[in-house]
Amino acid sequence: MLSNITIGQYFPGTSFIHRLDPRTKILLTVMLIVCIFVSKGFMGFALIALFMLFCAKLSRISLKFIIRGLKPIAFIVSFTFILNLFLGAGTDVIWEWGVLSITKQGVRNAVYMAVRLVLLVTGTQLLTLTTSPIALTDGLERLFSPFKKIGFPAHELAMMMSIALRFIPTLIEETEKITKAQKARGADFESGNLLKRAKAMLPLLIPLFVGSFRRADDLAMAMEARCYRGGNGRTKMNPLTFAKIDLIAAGVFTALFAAIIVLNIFGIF
Amino acid sequence: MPIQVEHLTHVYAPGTPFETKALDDINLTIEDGEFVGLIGHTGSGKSTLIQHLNAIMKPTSGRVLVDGEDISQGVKKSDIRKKVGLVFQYPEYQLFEETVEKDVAFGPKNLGLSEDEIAVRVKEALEMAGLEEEQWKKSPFELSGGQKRRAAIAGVLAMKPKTLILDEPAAGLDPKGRSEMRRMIRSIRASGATILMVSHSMDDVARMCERIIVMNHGKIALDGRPDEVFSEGEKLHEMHLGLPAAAVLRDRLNTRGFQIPANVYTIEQLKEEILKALKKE
Amino acid sequence: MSDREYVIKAENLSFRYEGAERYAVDHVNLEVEKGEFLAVLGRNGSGKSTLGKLFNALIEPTEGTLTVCGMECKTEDDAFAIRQKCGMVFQNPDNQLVATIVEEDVAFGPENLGIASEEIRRRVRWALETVGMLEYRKNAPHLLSGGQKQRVAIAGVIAMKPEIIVFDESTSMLDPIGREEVMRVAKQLNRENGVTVVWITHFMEEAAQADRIAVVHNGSIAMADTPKKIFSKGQALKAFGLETPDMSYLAQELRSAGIMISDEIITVEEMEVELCRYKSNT
Repeated sequence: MLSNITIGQYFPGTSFIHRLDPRTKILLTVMLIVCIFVSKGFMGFALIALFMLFCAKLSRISLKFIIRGLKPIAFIVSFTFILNLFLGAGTDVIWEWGVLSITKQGVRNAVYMAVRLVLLVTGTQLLTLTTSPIALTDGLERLFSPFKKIGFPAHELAMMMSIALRFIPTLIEETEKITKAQKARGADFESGNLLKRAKAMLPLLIPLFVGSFRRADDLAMAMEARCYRGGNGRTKMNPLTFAKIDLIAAGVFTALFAAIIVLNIFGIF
Repeated sequence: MPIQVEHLTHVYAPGTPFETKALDDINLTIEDGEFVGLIGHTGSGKSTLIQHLNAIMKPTSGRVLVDGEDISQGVKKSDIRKKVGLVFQYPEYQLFEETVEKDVAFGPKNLGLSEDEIAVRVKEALEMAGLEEEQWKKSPFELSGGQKRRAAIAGVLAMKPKTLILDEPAAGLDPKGRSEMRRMIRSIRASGATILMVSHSMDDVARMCERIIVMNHGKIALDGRPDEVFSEGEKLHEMHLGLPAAAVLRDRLNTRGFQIPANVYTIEQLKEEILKALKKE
Repeated sequence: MSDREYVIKAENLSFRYEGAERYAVDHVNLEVEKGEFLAVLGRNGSGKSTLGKLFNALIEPTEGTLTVCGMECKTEDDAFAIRQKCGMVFQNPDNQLVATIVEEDVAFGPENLGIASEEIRRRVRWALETVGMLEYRKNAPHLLSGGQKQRVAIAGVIAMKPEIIVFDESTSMLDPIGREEVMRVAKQLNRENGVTVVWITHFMEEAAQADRIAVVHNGSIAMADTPKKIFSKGQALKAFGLETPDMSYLAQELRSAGIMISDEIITVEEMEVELCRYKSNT
């Protein structure tokens, strides 16, 4: 059933990585992305890949699961690879056919780009697999809260995100119900050209919209009834706190970051 | 021609940890002109069953025959929906058109009928639904809860199905709304349609239906005339389904020396029996 | 009457929606006693839900006065204080849960009140235990049954430690089992925790279980009395678009046929006892 789908791809657990403060994980993921882009050679990539492997092992999430998560980007990776392969600028031509040519630099660029993409997605996957959507929104809210002073609605955005997460399954369920009801009235969502099909969606979309507004109204009232009046003065049942493990993680990470820089400076590829 | 259900089984999410057998080898015939009540708890398989009767859902195994034709085998969907109308729970949430009239016309339009025929059908359906003419041009969203519900049912009636399936038509309505709904269902019935009504309410079913089917864990647990079903107090109790209040009182009085026949299950019948018993003495 | 403590006091309480001609709540005088289980009975559109929203300070009276736990709603801060004392459980279980995890949702109210984290965790645990949902604390609400969702909503309200809870047709979208679950929890809170309950409904069987029933019709209180007294007036109820429970109806029918049993019968048990008594007396 559609309503059984999980939002995001959180994989519950209690590992070292799971227990890290979401803020630590978000910041370190950003740093990891920086690492991936400043790395200039295979040594750097290998180091990062090893590190990720280590994190995955630590999080007790099976590699199969992570690799499966890469499937959706397989096309983009191959596409960038081919594009870089043939269109990359360079002088050392290896192969030529009409306007198409492959150069040494082109090959290197193509491989690098592909590796970068794979590492990038794996890195962010490690974040979303080990952090619940709630923890993620919490973490983001706290990270952005210093910007509240300049009018950035950190709390409101986080609240919107968590409400969206809460209501996505409900709306999917409702979509299913309305689709069935209209089908029972002879509605046809599947045949005809694009325009016809778009028009056929109206009996589905209008009730869905009307329903969503009603829900939004109800929810706003229910929140008010439970004394909600914005982020000011709110406390948290489980406030985020940095612990020793966050320090350890940051330490390990700084070491990795330093290693990448050293590799870059000494030009070890 | 009747609706025949043969060895119907439906499994949700087969091969996953969520696998559940919602329907387990159901065999059933609904004759033309019957008024059947279908009761059972949430999760007993009622909703899954009715969605098979007009091909909204496909059987995992077994088949459903409408007018002798297997509806999962190459029959045009619109042909089935012309014959078997299905009104879901809270049908007012499917309303979408600018006016009540237009909304009711949606079904007949999908059947490809002529404008004239559509107009006639819309009028008939709205009249049967007990909606005043001044409400026909209104936006469906301006109607009261009970009126919206009846307008939505009219949308299915306008397709002139021979069999009408109603899933909890009175859910959430107030007493007046419920009695208006009963009136509407009776007038649909009077027009000659076969009706299958899903309900949680023993009292509603007792008041209206001629045959009651009780579902439990994806199977048919009881099937018979109301007086037959309501004499199975023990069995119903095991399924956490109550008896209508009149049947409960009947059983209690009988343990205390009254001799009220076991086929009494409405308040009216019970009143007569009590009067008989008390006036004799 | 000085020994009675009233948690809600409405004097000429009126409310009119913007642009409406008619009052939705029309000069209502009503007192709710501390610890009472009051059913507010009326058909859809009678104004019973509007009354509930007034109690919860979700809307402000157009005319008249309303005191809830000694407070009148004059400012935003009053409203905040009143909502803390008078919680509300709504009709649609899907549209009142905020968070993606049960315990996070229950914590929402206390978090809004600015309570310390330690205390919130204690209250959430207590609230979920009270409604019998502790084992579901880590679940996602959308996978729960209707009755379970409503119990989570109740937990979310009691975690704020209110004195009054208004149930606004909280069972009307549930199946019989869910309805029973919610009613049981409400009664338990009323009896064991001394919470005053205002139970808004159009189900006679539910209203019959209350200490007192206020029948609302066209925005006014048409009758207010014990269930036995209210349901003995079948004709009057019918005029308000309401029904009588089956047994009250049967009692009235038997009486008019000359069997003079008590007219204050609501339940099957009472009818059984009364008929046996009548039988042995004749």
